[in-house]
Amino acid sequence: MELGVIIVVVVALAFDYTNGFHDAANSIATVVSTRVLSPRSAVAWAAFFNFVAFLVFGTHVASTIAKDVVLQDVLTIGVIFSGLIGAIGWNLITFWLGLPTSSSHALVGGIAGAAVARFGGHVLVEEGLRKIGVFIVLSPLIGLALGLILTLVIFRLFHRVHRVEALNKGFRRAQLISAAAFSLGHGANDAQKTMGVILAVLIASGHVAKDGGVPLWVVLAAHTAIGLGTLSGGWRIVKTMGSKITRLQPVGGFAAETAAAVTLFFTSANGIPVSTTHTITGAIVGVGSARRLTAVRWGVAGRVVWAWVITIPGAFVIAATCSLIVKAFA
Amino acid sequence: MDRRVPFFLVSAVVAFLLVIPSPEKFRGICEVTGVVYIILAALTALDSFGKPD
Repeated sequence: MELGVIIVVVVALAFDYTNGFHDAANSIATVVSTRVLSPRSAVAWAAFFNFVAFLVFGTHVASTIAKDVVLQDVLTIGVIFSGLIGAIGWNLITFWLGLPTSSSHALVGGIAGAAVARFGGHVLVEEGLRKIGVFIVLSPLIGLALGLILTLVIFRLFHRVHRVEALNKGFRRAQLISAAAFSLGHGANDAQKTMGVILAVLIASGHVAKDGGVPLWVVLAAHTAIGLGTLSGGWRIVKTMGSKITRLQPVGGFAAETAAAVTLFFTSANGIPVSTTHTITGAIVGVGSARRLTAVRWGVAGRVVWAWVITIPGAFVIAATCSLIVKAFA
Repeated sequence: MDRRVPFFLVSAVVAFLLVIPSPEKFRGICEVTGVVYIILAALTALDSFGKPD
């Protein structure tokens, strides 16, 4: 295998590792804050379900990243490398600015920007980008509606339980299942994005046929990377997240995680790369709005909307610049 | 008026607008999401759940 291919594969797996590191908090923060599990146990729980996701879901999302963003013929190793640098660069900038942006959207913007800078706008795959673009907005909306409906259903089913403490006690245990389901969805959708990048570089270098599927070693490597990322660093972020969202009761945590998990299962099964962070944020807003709108932290929701607007153009510009530099030196 | 009503209606409009750029395969899910938000807005307006702001 050529050195360029190996470098891109390693960078892609590093990207996956950081994704697990940062997003672990989304799935287990409520379990930690309600003291169902210790931070370390919760992270191990999430990492396990991140890893086994490949047994449950196919590799449709990986195919979308590799084949439905830009024409396959223009996905050279240089373009993929530039796209990855654009996504990582954008993530670092927004991490520094404290913006809750999506790695998934950054990856799509990065690949598109790198390819357009090198070959022109005609290389974009219109239908694939329309699918991704629609679900950038739709996935938090679905998560929000499901979170709200699930909360209402739970309260209707358990309306005879007058003591909120008793209800929350039962749902503390149920959160183990909902957190596992969300981790499964996270592993399925986010690990597949890395698989898509590696698949694209393997196709570009001739190691996989154009109509070929994702090799098993790529599937295992991507799930291992995201699982290890969750396992090694996530608990630090979980501690912070757990203390920030203590207002979310076990019932709400269960509803939010389940709603987000269902959304991720649907999108993963249909090959749609979505932001797991934005999906769970939408679901949490849905749970909060079951009571009243003022229960929702609109500052956070507003920042997510801004993140939607600027992520793809931002990563696009960085990747395009990187692509032109690579072209100049190639 | 409960502030959730306009919020849900705007969400419904956004979901219906997404039908336009959506590939044909996913237009149904956009429409269903829009309908669900309209129902939520209607239920909220009728004060069927929760407490208003």
